Amino acid sequence: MTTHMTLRVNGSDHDITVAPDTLLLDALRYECGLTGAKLGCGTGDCGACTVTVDGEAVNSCLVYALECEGHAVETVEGATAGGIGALVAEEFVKADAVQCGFCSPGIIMSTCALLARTEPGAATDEDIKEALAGNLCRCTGYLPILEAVRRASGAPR
Amino acid sequence: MSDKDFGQYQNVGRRLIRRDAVERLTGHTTYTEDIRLPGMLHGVLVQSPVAAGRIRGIDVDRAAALDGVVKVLTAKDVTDRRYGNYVKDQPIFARDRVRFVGEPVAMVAATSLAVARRAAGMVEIDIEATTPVVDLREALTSAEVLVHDRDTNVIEDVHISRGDVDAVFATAHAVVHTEIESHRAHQAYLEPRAVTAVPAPGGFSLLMSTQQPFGVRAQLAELFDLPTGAIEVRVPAVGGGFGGKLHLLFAPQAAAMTLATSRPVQIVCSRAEDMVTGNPRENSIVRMSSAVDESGRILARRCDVVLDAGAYAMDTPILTSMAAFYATGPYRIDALDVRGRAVYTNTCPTGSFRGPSGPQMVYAAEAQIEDIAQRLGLDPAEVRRRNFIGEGDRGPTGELITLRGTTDECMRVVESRLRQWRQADVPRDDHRRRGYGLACAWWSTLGTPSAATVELHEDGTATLSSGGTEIGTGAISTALPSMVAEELGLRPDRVVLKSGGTRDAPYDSGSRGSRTMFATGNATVLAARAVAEQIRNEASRLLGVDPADLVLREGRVEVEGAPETGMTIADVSASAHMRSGPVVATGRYRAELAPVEGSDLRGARFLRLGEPTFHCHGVEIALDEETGRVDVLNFIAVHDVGRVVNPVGARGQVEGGVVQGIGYALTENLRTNDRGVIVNGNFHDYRLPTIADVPPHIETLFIETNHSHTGPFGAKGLGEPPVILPAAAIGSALRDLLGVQPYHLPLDADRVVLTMAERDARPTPGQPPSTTRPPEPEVER
Repeated sequence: MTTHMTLRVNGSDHDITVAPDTLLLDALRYECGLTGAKLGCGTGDCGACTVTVDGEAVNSCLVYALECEGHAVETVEGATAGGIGALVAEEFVKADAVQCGFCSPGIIMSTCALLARTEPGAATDEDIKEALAGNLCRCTGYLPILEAVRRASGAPR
Repeated sequence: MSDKDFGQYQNVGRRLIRRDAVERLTGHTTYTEDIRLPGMLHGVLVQSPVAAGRIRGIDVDRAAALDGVVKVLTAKDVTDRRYGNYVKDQPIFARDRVRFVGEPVAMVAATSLAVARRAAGMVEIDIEATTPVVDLREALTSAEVLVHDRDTNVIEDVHISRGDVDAVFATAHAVVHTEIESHRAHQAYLEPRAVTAVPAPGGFSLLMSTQQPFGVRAQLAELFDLPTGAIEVRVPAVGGGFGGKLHLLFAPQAAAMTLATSRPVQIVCSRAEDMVTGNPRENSIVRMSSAVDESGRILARRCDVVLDAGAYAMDTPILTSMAAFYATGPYRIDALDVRGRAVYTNTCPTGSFRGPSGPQMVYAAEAQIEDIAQRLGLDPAEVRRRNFIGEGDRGPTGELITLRGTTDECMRVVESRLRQWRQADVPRDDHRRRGYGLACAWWSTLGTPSAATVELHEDGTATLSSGGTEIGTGAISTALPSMVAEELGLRPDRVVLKSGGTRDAPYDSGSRGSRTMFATGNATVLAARAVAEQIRNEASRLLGVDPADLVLREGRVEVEGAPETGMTIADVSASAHMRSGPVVATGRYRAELAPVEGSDLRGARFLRLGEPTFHCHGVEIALDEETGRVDVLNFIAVHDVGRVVNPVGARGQVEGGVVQGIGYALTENLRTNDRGVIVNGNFHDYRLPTIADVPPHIETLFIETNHSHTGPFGAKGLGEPPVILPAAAIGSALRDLLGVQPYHLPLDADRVVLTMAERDARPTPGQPPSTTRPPEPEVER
């Protein structure tokens, strides 16, 4: 049993076919061809699948695609194509905050959601830790990530 | 060694920005699970629900009849040959017997993942459950409950004998005994294991998240009785490995299904499948006794290490030798009686995890130092100092140490930092108690084989073809091209890297054992030097200058000491292509094995450790005595790994390793119940450190005055050491704080509270026993 829907992703409408239980993550990866969001655990614990829906960070492995009809979904591919997301990615490069990279798209998206709701320079270390506590990284030990987010937060927007 | 080896370089030693960072950060890097091929089937494994049993029958009819299912395989459909890195004991699908919960018994391939999952649930396995042996001590001694058809569960038994241990023990000033037990921890890379098999003429290809594609290829060739060249292993980006992706993983199952269906077959593990099927860091028991003189000098040591292999051997045989070799710690001990054993149990197979056997061996050796110091009333740092191994000494297997020992230099830095931390004020509203500790270790760099090809093109740009595998460290993607650039006098962006599998490059033995920068680096430098020589010879003909007087720098071939002379490398290369042939060379490397002397080794898988590296970590912790919660407040990591090729990448290795080590020490514990079921095989219950758990600062320092004689530009290996020390440093800090050493890992809240309770229940305070459990009777030896 499948149904047609329109999913608005990164500012473009995608007419896709989904089942009632198709996850947003799978719709993005396999219907829209956007594989930046990753399946790390499937239980909402690792954050590798993080995207934003109407600006808020969500685990796309816990959301059905049909729930997102009429909402604006953004993935790492769209977020880093320009604006604040591109700046965030640049700071991650400078801080050497990426190793294997599997968690990185999700961390970029959680960062983008944080910066969207805070004034430049306003995010404290506690705010950053709270925003990223749902994103596991097994390679870096997190300190370069913290540094990159601090810098991105302080940059003029 | 030439002056240049210790000199300044254009690229080596400078901050290198990751070449592949932007692509990874923006979601454009392709991992195995991102690739879906036309006509591809989804494979799902049917796993054993019990830890031990006899398979009476498997009914696949209902599953096979489901719409969308293309094939169901069981043991009877595939070869009975077994596989394994060292002991070939593992079947593709369980045959007759199952040996652990989660063992693959059958596999379904279907046109969609949902159908494959549903069908897998419809395969009916009739198993007569038998009594499993789950406990390591029980498995060690049992002659009744046997995991395999052998007369013992012991699969590996290694002895090191050196000097007259009995005589020294009989006459020593004191004998100190320490016994520790350690737990299982999972590599928990963020990308679950994934493989796609693709039909190919005469064989198959794999797209696989693996740390060693050439090892996978060799083992599959043997398993499926195919020529090595008929199998290709391509490695898309690897989302972390840490030793967990050194094995065949589910390549045999995917390949068998591709051979049966002639279609591409993908297996992507769910996190739950990933965590219950393999190969966490092994749980272990380490018993250690030292005979010492009054000054704390260790005259002799006995050590008995028992590792839990789980149901199949995987890497454990070689880890048993490693564990035995690391029984001395970074200390010179001239009389040794070390025994290492590995034991089968009906549990998930264990295997390599970054610095295998390291954390528990360092924990045991450092707890032993502190036990010795306590017994003799000495400062533990002073006891360490009196025993550090160094140049001219012989290591555990009798190998001559030819590098200066720098553990003392590392420890002095840490001691000074611990003094500063002790003196700092504690916030008034913080009721937690502080503890300060340090740990020392040595480790070695694996020198296993590698080859690399460097080709200089007509336009003066170069291609490096490396069989090395980028697993996220940047060693392959970024450091190797910079080494080629250094040797050829090119800008790094003029060197293009081709790597990622078996097709485009010669053999490399994989990203493991801290070897990539060292061994793959050496092969790369040798290839680049041979290319430089070809260029100098060609330029010599063109310029009429002795090749020995020519240098390659800034894109030119110049007369040494006379910048702007000579020609561009592009012109020389173009000339060589027309006159003498393409400018290309392959470097091949294998570390030379130094002779060993004075030790009797029985059952060891290798003879000596590689070139040593030296390390010390220090930590400040805070303990909430009401909850048992330990927080790491400050951390310092000091390492001697020879030349640091890329300071940014090196810092990343240390910080990442330290945080993994903190996780191992405090929160990570993959638990198996008495029925052999892993009870926390998911990221909710298995607690990895998050950004909210890490110390605000990890100070990373390198001793850079002790360059390797054999590594590229003086480099040694760094990948593993940072993870092996934190547990021992935290244990030392807890001892500082509690007055007693915890002898069981992990040091989680339960353990800390229990340690405090045991301390307080002791009848005679001030006379601590050397273990928190009554000593076991010595197992016959």
